[in-house]
Amino acid sequence: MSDTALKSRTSVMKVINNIRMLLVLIGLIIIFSILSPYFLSMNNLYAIGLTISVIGIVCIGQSVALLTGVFDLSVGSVAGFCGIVVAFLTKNYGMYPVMFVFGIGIGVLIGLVNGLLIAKAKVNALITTLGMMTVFQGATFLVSNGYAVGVNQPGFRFLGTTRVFSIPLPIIILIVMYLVFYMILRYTVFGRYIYSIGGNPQAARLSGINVDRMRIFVFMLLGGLSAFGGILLASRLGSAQTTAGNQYPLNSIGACVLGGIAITGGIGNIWGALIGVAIIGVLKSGLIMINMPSYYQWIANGIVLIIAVYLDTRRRR
Amino acid sequence: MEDLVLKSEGINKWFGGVHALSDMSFELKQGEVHALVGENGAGKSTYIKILSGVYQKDSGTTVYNNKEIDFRNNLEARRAGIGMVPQIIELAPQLTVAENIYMGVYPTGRGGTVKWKDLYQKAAEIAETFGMEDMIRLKVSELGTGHRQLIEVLKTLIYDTKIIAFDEPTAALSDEETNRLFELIGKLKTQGISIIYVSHRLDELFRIADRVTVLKDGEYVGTRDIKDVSKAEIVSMMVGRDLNLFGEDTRKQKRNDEVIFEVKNLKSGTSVNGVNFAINKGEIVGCFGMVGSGRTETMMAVFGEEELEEGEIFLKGEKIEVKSPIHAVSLGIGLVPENRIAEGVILISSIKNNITLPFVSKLGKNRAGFIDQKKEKKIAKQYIKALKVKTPHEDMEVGSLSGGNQQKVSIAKWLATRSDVIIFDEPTHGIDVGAKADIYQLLRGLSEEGKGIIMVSSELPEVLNVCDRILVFRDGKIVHDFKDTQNLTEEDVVKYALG
Repeated sequence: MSDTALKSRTSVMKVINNIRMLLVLIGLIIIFSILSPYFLSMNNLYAIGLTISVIGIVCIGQSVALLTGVFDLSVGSVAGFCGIVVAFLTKNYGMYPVMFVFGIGIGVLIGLVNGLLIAKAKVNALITTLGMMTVFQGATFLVSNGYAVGVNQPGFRFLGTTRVFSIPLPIIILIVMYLVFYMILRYTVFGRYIYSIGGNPQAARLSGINVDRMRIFVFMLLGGLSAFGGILLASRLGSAQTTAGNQYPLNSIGACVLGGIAITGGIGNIWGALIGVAIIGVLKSGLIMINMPSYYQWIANGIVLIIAVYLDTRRRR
Repeated sequence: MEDLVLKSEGINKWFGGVHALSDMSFELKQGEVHALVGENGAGKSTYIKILSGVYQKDSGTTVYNNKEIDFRNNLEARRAGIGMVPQIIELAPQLTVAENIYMGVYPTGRGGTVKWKDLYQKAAEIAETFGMEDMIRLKVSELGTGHRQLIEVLKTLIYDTKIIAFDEPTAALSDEETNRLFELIGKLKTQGISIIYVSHRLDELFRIADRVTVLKDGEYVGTRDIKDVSKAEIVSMMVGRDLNLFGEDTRKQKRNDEVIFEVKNLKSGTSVNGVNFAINKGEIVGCFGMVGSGRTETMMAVFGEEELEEGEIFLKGEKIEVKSPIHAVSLGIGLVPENRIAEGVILISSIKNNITLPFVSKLGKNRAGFIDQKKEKKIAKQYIKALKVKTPHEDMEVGSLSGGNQQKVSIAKWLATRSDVIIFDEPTHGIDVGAKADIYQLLRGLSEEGKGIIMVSSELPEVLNVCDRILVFRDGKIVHDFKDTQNLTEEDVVKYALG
């Protein structure tokens, strides 16, 4: 085989791996639009977009973590906790912008604790983030006494309910953030370090990369993004729910893997994660449209996740 | 010819582009100890792995007990009576000796329950022959390396075994353990079992082997009765036409007195007990010593991987404190680790990204940290060319390259980083002869640039032919500093290493 043929074949293979999931997404959309005439309506598409905008943002962080070879199960609790703290504070004291920044700060701080425990204290990432997940589930209920916190101030609701040329702002935020993070991961030193650490942490360390510091930073980023997701969700709904992020750990990891990000680190890109999130969103909306009880969603999500990991494993063999 | 148990002819085996065995042949008589020797990469291990079903040959025939064999896996080979004692011992440390011996073939009763009494009784019978019956209830973790090796031997004996292949069995053994192993091999011989004995240690052959077969670059060179052959003859058969491997000898032309790197009274852990050395600019310094002599540990301490208890390190006359590998790299020290797959390269990254990794942060175009892609590509191409990495383009994944080319990438990284001192830990370990020659060439090139080069190596021929100086390690100290390596022989160096 000539050099150029070899080169074009490898890049074609890469594209096909990404395109396969895109085809699954398009296939699902076609099936549901046949089953339900309302599925392809603009309103429903916006609704899907709004649903995935929050988990989509969480998925950016989860992608970065997975690319470095770790993952975070506390994303949902952090989103829920920060959402409820910001809602609670804004309701009682106003000053939304200040509370917004404060909320993100809490997320970053939780990420810092996660990162220190994992990178410095060498506690297993699964256990650390599982523990933190439970801690902040509990803390969420403590802050709110177990009730949702409703806030009706226009400032609080700006991010979640504004429309630009009739497109909901969260969808625009989502797309812009994916563009930005794609550029960062693809073209910057930071991105290169992320992929290198995921590819072989020991080789990266011996090449002079501060792997521990990078991992801590990744968890801080993840915490901040999760917090932002949670605050955005509360803003859209006008209230912060105590169980807001319960499905995020599974769904965010599932979406990333579905989109071709290797659970072992170093392989994949965030467009894959976006496709993965979209598949989960479409599945959810579609199942509602055809009047399936919502429990089926959980079953479908679980099955989709296992299939995704199976495909990932098989591709690598 | 009726006493021949095994005969292989025309065996070929390819690994990717590497021709590991090429029309190789081999014969084994009943009850003999037949040594198989050759340099690294000569195909010894590959051959015994084919015999024992770990690998499958690409072509050729092997007749065993008058039947042609081609095992699909290790279990088939074991059942047919061909056992192997691997170089790296693979036992379950938390299980008992008997459980390990019968691993996978436990005697079972109804419903698959293990018949423990039978298991221990049968294990005791096997162990008894070698006086090891007291040991069968001990956990493997309680035993030393030597005993573990013997357990691997016992494992092969649960079937009606005719042939046992040993892969470098004494590499990690003490003298006493080695003696015990040889005793055991003697007993196996009296039982009519044939032994294939792969070893680098030629002296051993004269104690234990009946015949010796030499392989070179995957080809059969010849077979001799051990009583008709000298060590020198075996070596010349092993080395043969390859004298040119080391290329032009440049050792005497350069002498630069400027010290680039110096270590004073280095102490770290239990295995580095006061190491002193200084390296001049452009000097290639070989570090030789047996396993456990402290040479690798010294390098780890110099590179900030192990904590220093005592001692000072000077780079270009300035005192430095190396707190971590990250710090070492920033100071201008590079390390090419021994295990390139686990530590040297990122297999799933491109050649380009591997080469530029240590200094990619300096290739930023702007403050946001966007990498200057053009510049990066240019650097990668330059070093791919300089090191003769065989690849269609710089975006190929390193995992798709051969071992030798992967090693070149692992080295290219530090050349491109322009480190002042580069430590090579077993730089030619497990790579083919062509790539070896390229790497020696490269070391000379670096030396001309005035770098300080440390080469840790267990392969004496390369230490003797490439290095300007040789430091011999023993018991965590440098016991001898050969300032001139011209006319030095292997014996001279080994004498100091063994003490």
